[in-house]
Amino acid sequence: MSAVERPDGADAEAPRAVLVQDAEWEAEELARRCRLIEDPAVQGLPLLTRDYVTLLVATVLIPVLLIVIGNLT
Amino acid sequence: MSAPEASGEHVALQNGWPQTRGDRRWSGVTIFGTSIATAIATWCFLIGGFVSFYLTAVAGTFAILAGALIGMLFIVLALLPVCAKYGIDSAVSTRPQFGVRGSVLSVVMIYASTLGWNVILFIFMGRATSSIVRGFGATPPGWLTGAAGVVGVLLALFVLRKGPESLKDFGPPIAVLTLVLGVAVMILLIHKLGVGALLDAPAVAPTASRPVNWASGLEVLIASNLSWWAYTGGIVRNGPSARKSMWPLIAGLGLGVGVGSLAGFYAGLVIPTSGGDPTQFLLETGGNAVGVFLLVFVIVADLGTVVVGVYSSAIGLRQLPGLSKTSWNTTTLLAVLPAFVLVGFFPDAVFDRFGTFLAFLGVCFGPVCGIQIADYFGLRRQRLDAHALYDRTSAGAYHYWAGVNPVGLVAFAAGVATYLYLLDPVTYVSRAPFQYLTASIPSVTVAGLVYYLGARLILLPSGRGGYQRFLPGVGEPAPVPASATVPVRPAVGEAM
Repeated sequence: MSAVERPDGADAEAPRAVLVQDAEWEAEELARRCRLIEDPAVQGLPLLTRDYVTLLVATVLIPVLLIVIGNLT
Repeated sequence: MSAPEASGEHVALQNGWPQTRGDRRWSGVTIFGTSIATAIATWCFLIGGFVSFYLTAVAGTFAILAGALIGMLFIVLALLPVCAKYGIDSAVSTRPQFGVRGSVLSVVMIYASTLGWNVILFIFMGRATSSIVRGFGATPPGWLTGAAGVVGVLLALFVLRKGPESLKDFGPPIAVLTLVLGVAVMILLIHKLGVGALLDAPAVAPTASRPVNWASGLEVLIASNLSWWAYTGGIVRNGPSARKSMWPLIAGLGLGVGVGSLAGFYAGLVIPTSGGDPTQFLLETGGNAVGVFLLVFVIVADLGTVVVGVYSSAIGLRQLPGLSKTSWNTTTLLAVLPAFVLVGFFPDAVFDRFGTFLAFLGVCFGPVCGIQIADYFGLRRQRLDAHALYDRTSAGAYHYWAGVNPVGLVAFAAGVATYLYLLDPVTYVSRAPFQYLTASIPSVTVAGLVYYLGARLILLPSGRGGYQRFLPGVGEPAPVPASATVPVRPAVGEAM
């Protein structure tokens, strides 16, 4: 991916005075990232239906069973 | 990777900007390691110790595991899909629901909760240090707990001085240490006191109602795990896949706390005066040599957790207007500043209010989870406008009214009121139907329902919130979001 070049090659760790040039670089970088992330190809991979099903089993069904068994003991 | 790319990633990571899939370096193992290092700390002993007030060994074990898993349901649904998809942190993920300025509420909650957990751990480090001194036969001075806690604060700042990347290498070894600690404490208790004593031990201070005792045990774990809301976004945004992050998250944060709490729970039952606090019983039950060794483990495990906590707190702070331009080290210093005072001067007073702090977590994070789940799944079809997350102009989709979404705030208040009606966070006195539903579950549900209805009745007709893109019958989905064509141009010095 092409990145927006930071003015003067400044490092992010360096003290960042409130300079218009610096702010513009950040605004452009943020805008670029926002454009990019709307593309499913660069988004994180989503959960699938079967993931939601297993999530419900693990966090609803199993706890209900634990509560029932725990109350029977 | 070129230098400019590295800079962009670095700034994005620190400011909570979207991380593309290619930017994300954390594997499932790293996410699990960081999650479990976050979850399993000495606060687990206190959480378990709290359950020992209400339930006996067998029932409490089931309740702890069940509560831990239920809490993770809300955390996973509220944060994993959205934060993993867009590479954003927890605070930014609430801007669609609270507004670009209203989301300061979540920043404040993150700051308060992480600060609270961190302060508890710093004090734990101080108490462990005092106990170690006792283990060597000396009498620790009264100020030692506070002073050692302050040293812990400085150590956390030192570890984080090179930026968030240091967490990547820090988490897994700490996770192993903390797991070993929990197992060692359990073995020690069973070896010294016997399984029979544990199974026969009554609950320390149960109510007369068995359902209330059960609900209280569940509630402690649900509320505790809801507090992972503050940490979860910061963790999963570093992983390239929600699928690969889900189980590490559930196992690390959810079961991590569940299993980790068992040691404190059993300790609380067999040593009722301890409240599960290992710094108060390790020397007596393990002897000086073993006790001191395990207390050092406590300190190391706590350090691993507070490092993640300070990181999350710092990332949250950088969302506040005026703080996004500060250096990383200044931000981390601000994140722990109150800890210097609370840990250094009031360690005992703060430590004694742990139960109220737990309830505060449920009060705050339950409603936020409900609102986010209702919004992301029920209204937005799992899609956000990435530009609008950072657009503070009145044209932004998440600007609402002056940057604040009143529907989100009302729904949050409804969730808080529901919780407070069901359970008094100070006295832990409950009202029906707490004994059947706990307090957090109704709080999550009410907040979500109020938000959904408010959005349908107020936001959609007013055309605010960017819902028109996603809902059938409200308007045709626009191929390109309106704000996507507007460059994000935050004012100089303004948080993005």
